[in-house]
Amino acid sequence: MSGATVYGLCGAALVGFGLFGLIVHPEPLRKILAFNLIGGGVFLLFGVVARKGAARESAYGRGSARQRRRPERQLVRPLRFEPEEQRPHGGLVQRAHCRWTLAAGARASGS
Amino acid sequence: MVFDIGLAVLVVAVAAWTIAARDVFAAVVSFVAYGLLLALVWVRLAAPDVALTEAAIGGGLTGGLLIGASSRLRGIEAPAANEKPGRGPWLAAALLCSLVSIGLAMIVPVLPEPSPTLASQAAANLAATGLSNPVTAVLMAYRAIDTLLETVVLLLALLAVWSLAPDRFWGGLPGRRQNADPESVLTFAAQLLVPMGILIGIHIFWIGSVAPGGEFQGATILAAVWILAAMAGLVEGPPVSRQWLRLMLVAGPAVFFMIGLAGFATAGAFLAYPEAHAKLLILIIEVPVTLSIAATLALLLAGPPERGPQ
Repeated sequence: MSGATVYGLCGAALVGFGLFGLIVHPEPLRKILAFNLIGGGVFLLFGVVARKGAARESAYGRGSARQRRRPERQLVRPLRFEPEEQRPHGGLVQRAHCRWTLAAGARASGS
Repeated sequence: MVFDIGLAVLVVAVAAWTIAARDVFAAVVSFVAYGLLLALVWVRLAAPDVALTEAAIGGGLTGGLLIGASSRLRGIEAPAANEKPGRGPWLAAALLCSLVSIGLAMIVPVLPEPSPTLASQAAANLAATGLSNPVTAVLMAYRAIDTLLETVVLLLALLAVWSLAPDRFWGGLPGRRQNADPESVLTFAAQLLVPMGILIGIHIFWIGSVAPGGEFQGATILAAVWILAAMAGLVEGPPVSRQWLRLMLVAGPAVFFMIGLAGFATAGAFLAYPEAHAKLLILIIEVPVTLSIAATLALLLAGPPERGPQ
């Protein structure tokens, strides 16, 4: 289990807590807070999906610990990672992923 | 790994407290803590740009807005608090939400790895933008239209806040009068922190082209500095009817939009930049956008006009 997976599970739990708060709290402000928890959780899930795609080629040239242990690979092909085409099991998640990897969650600025 | 698990548990615990706390104010404070912890999570996911934004906007700015809202709603929300659901619906909600969480958690380990990514394309075309931070390239070049719309949305939010002002205060000073003691620690801290904050804000904005940072994060810091100075009574907000203030608010989106339109003539599409001048154009957009966002966020936090023009 990698760090990204841990945070993915964390995101899933956040969505559940947020949804619960949204349902049981009658006050509008509490509902807004709960809704923001859902947003944080969903966004974290997107981030984890993006991380799994982009982990190999870090945007700033520093990658995960595993990657740093293999410097030769980074030096020779720093930005050349071709995804295997036409994965048969790619559904909704993968399509969403394509959009989100690029931004690497940069759209947080809108929140 | 131990750190990751600990942090994840902490985030979930703080989120649970946000839901479980009895007092609205306690829930808001817990939400701010949640935002800051989430920023740490983003750092761990190697997304420092998102972390900066989450800390500045998710934790700081939203926290400030929510604390203001909770103090205003104190009296109004009391009757609503008595409409708690009974035991049956409560259990049903708990069951439903657990199922949603479990369902999502089951997807996480089976996500394709590595999955297709556009990161390589983003990196391959980086040279054309003249930037070296791919996230800024996404925000200001590849998906500039989203950023343009975000700046417009902020402006609309400010209009919505202003429209809550009573008629007699229209065009007046935003927010309530701050009666800060000039001898207090707050005033001293503000005098000390404001120059540093301005410097850090400009630095975060400027560094955005090569490293994590950018106009939203920098502008949030500048707005926070202004709010701090206003709370300490060092500055007084300008009346919202001032012409220069309104010009400052619309300058960012307007310049952005005009350069976007110019893209039709120079590069053949809306918001397209001619390759030789891409970085210069992005900079010309970013400066007024930063000022506009900073002013908009500060005024959003200050609230609707509550005092007449002086």
